[in-house]
Amino acid sequence: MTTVQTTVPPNDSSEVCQYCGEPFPTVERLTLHRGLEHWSDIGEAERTAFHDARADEQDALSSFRLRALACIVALYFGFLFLYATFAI
Amino acid sequence: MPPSPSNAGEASADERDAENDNTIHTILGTVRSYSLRVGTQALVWTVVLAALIDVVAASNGMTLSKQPRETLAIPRWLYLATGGATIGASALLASFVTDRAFIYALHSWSVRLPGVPTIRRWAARFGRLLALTTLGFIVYVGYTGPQLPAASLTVLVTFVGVRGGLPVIAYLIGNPWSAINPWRALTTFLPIRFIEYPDSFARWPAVVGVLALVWAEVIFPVSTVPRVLATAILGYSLYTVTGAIVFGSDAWFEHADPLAVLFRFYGAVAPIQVRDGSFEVSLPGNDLADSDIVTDESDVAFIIALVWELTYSGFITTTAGAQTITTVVESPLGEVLPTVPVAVLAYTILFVTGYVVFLAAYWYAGTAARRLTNTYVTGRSIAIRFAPPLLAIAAGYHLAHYAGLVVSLSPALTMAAVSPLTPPANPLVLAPPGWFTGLSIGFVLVGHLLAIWEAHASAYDLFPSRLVAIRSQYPFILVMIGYTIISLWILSLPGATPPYLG
Repeated sequence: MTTVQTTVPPNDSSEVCQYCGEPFPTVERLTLHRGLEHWSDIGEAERTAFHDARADEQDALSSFRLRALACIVALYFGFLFLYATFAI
Repeated sequence: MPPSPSNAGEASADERDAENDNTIHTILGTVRSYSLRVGTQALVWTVVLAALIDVVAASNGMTLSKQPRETLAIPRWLYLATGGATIGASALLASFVTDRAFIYALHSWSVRLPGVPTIRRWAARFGRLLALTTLGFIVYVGYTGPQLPAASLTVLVTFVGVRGGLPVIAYLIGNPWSAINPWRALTTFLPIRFIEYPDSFARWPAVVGVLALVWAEVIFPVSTVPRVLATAILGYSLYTVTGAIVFGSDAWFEHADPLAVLFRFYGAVAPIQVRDGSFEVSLPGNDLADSDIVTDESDVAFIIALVWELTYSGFITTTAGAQTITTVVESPLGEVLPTVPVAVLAYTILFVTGYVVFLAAYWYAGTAARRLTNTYVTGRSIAIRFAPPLLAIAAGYHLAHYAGLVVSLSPALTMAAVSPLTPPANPLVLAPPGWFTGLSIGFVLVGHLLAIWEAHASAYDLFPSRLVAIRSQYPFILVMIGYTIISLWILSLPGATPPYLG
């Protein structure tokens, strides 16, 4: 398995995973990483933090889905009009 | 590996619920709602894909079925925009699948077939003996047999068999090459190794090799004059056998032999894989989300070479490609120098430039993805991780370009195989029906859809945050839309013979 390489830009304060040493730019991503990759190693507090981070992520995903749906609808009607105009 | 640890997270969420409220009903309810969710997602996904394929088929039927391929019922830009939008829309739809456990479940599904070591051993021996005999025989027939391409066993086996048919088997069923590689069979009898294969070479010799093979295919009359082809096969045999003797058979065919590497990469798309000595059946393209296939830059360069060579050989056999070459040759430069060298130079520059553009666009997408997601994962790592799904695109292009050739020339191949020295001078050539071009457009699009789905799975494996995983795909989707539009444009152009060659 290829290892994932990371570089931290200078002047950036990174959050480093204490189990594998991988750096993350935000605490949320580190929390999610710990829950996904090191579930058996982490304690109860970190598990709760993981579930909270997942809930926040779920909210953000829902709003992303709405925007994606809007894009698909716009694409659909855009092409409908294009075909109505040019494909005769 | 597919996103396995995520499953632990999901499962343990369920475990926690069970701990808190320890009744059978809760567990049953959780399991039921979970399977319901997975089931609904699968259903939605199938319906969406079916609808997409229907739309594609319908537009093909409208635009291409009754017409020769150069006349479209809709403006060409609209046809190209529709193709690009199909890729963009399917990427948006793929981003709706956010359940890590579902993605993991799809990617970890596999059935192990019973191991039959004795049969496999004998089949491999027989396959290699057959391949070795065929190799010797087609070289002999190339020099002594008829010099007509459509009647020559050498040309038909090389182009209909090895160039067209075997890759199709490799990506639709499973990689057959390791069992029938004649040069490998030859070098197993000569287990000599003088030099350790340098790690720093990576798979660059294979990249250069495959580009050189395609270049030679374009420049030299290998597909029209059997004698030239037989000489080329001898030259290639000499090269690859020497390499295998110097660096050792295993290292050479693993890293440097272009054909072996090509078939292994195409084989990664296939539903049948060999693991631990036995066959395993999984969903097509499942292995492409695996991080073991591509390990460094040379692998990425090889995969892009596969995508580019099919685009290039498609382009130069169209009127636009012929026009480009003619323009260069008829420019003032062509008046100073003799025609043929200028034409060869024009073909070579077009080949190299296009490849560099394709590679640079892809590599830049890795850097752009890093910047866009504000991640610490290097652009190189991202580019390497998203490279295997491109193999699905290459497979789609290959099928689009070679399905017609294989179908139309397979009776000729059969006849030449039955009587190689005196084949019928006017062999049966099937003319594929008009809807075959529509099928080609379908192959290109299905390849891209599979690539998008596998890239989605790779992104989920690479990034802990699902929003980051979605955002990381944007640059690659743009590159894929670019590749699709170029490929669909080539398919819409009328065919032509490449000028000044032959």
